[in-house]
Amino acid sequence: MMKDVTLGQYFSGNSVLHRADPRAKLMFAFFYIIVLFFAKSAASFGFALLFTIMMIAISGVPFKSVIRAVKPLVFIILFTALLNIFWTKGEKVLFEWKFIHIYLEGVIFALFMAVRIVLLVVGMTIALTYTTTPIALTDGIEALLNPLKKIKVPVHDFAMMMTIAMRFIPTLIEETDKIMDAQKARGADFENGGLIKKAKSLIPILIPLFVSSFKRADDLAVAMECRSYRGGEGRTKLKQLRYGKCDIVLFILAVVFVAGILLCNYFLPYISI
Amino acid sequence: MAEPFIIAENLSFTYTDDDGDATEALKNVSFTVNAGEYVAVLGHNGSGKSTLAKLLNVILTPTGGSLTVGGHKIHADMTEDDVFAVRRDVGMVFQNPDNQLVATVVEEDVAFGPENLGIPRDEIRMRVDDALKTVGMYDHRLSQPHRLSGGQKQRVAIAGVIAMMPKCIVFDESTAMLDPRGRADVMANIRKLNDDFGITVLHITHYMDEAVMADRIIVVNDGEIYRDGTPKEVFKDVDGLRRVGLDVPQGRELLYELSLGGIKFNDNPIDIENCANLILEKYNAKKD
Amino acid sequence: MTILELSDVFFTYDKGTPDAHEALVGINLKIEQGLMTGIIGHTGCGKSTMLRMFNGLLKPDSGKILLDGKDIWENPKEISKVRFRVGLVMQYPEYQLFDETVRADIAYGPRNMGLDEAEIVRRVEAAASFAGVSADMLDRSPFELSGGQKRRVAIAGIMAMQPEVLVLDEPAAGLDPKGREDIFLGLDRYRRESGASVIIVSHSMEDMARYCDRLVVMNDAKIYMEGTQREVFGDAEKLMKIGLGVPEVTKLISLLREGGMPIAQEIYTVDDAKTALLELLGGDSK
Repeated sequence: MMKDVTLGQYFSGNSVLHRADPRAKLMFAFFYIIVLFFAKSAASFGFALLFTIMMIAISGVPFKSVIRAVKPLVFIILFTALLNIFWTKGEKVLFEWKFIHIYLEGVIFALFMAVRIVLLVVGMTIALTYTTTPIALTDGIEALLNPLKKIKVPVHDFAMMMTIAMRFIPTLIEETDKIMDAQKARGADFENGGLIKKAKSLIPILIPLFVSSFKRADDLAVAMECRSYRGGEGRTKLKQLRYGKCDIVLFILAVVFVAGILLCNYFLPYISI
Repeated sequence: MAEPFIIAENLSFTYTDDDGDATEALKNVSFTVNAGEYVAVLGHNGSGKSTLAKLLNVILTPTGGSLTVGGHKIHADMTEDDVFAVRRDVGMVFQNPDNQLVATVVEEDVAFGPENLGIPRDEIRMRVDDALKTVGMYDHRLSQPHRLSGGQKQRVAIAGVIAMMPKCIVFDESTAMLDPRGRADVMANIRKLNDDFGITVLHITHYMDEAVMADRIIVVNDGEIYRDGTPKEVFKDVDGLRRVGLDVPQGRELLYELSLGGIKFNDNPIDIENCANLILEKYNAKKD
Repeated sequence: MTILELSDVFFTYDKGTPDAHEALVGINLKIEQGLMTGIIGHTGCGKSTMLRMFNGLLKPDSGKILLDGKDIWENPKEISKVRFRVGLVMQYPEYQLFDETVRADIAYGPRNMGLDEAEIVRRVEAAASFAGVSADMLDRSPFELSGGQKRRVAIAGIMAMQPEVLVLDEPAAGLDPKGREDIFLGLDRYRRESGASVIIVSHSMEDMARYCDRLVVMNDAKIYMEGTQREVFGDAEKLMKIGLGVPEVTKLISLLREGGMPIAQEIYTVDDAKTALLELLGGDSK
């Protein structure tokens, strides 16, 4: 059933990564991505791999779920790897057939790129989506973007929209399920037929869904007004973001990561790109 | 002497649709609700009872007559500050439990109102906890709203209103989409808010079994007040209520039907215990 | 005669995951042809799941659903044909309306059946009349109707398929007393004139007592009680044990019996109570 789709895929837990401030995690994730692009040698990629595995261990998220996050990207990873293999020119030829030349440098580059993409995705999910509730993430983004308010960027409104979207996505998924069942009960067929027939069969789902979404939006706007909502001006917040011990741990991790990568690049430059 | 909280004098409201056709939803309605009272507004769908709710919270403004709520006069030219002053005093719980919860965590949703009022954080924390305890949802404070049952969602919505500490709460068909358990839950909470906190309650409904729980019932029909009195007074006129599309409690209905069959009773109770006693009296009198 | 039968049906949601929960456990049930059957039970007792079994929206993990003696899952490709024979009106069905006119919306089901145009027109008009959709409503947009009117249009949309079994999940939810009565009387007339069997889920014991021939009480994914009104309402204690009750008037009758009145306990409607009491008290019963 569609309602099984969980949004944000948050894994509840109590690890350092779970307890860290969302702002710190956002900055950490951003930093992690940049540093990943500094990695040049086999040793530094190896270090990045170890570091990321350690992060998974700290988070307590089951390894299987991490694999699941990478799975949808397998095609993209393979595709870029193939492009890299065929397109990179180098000195040492491994294989030659008509116009196809494969160089050792190409294979190494392709491998490094693949590892980089995988680590990028795993790092992001571990630091952010798997260990941060969507609402904390929204709060973090809002807080980090706060300075933009000075130049009239509607940061609060953006965050409010995100929150409402997250609140209503499960409701709308459930509703879609219900409407589909109702139309199936009237003999609707969503599985068979050509593209046009399939597109047409969506109308009896989409129209009721739109109608009810508008009604919901209308109701919600009135309810929010009745609860004295007047935009971000003069609002206080129940939850204040506060940096703590866990954020220091995150800071240390970031320092270790960048130092490790740079040292490996410098002292163990074997097989580098 | 109780102080009036809501005063409506010749209150009218006329809708004008896109074609310019006017419909009178409320026609010259006059009534008063005192502070601390628990009043049910009973009427069938389209009777004008929901229009009344929307006027009390300045979602609509009167097109005729006058309406004063908590000392604020409601009219079309109110400033935004005036409007929000009314909404501070009058909380509202709506029909669809799904369409009034804003946040993805229960306690954050309850905090939404106080946050809007700019209340300091420590006090919000206290109010949220108290409100959730009052409605018995404290254990669910970290749950996601979409995982709750309809009745639980509605209790969260009530907590969200209590946390704003209004003087009056309007329940606009808040039980219509709930199952019997959810309805009983919400009704118990309404009673509690009135009994324990002295909050003025206006409960808009078409269920007569809920209306009988109020201190007073205003029956609305066709935009006019059809009856205004205690439940016992209102349900005396079984025939009239049926004519305006409403039910009466089965005990009262039975006594009325028996009276049509020639057996007259000298009282018109609505609860089954008193109805049974009256019938037994008649039976014993006849036996002797 | 049995029209629909559930035989040892089991169903679990999210089977094999930590969220798994049993919705139906060993359900055996026979629905009698031409009667109005009421299903009672708390939210989450499995009744909505059972309704989805009746017309093949859900497939049982094990067990059989027999329509007129034939297993509906014998040929899974033909399951949509079962849905035309067992019409299901879901809760708040007004949310399924989508077409430009009421007429076109009611015709959606019959059109999916592949009927010819003349037959569709005939069925739409017949269904509209049963469901209380007036002729002037047919050419209006369903979105400009009132809530109660939309509900009736949605019910007509299922009736137009002329199912042998019409199943309705809380058809009167949220409607006012007049709206409720209109719906129930319409269903009763449909059942009598078309000979179809009707299955209704409702929380109102008073409505159940007024309209249903047989009652099924569900609790905790199982059938808790089943039988005639007398068999189910006769055991008020058993109903009370799971937080359900009997009609108000039946409670009143119990009080009268406790008070020493020789009145039959099997009274579930105000009309029956009136007749019995007038006899005892010597009133004029006409």
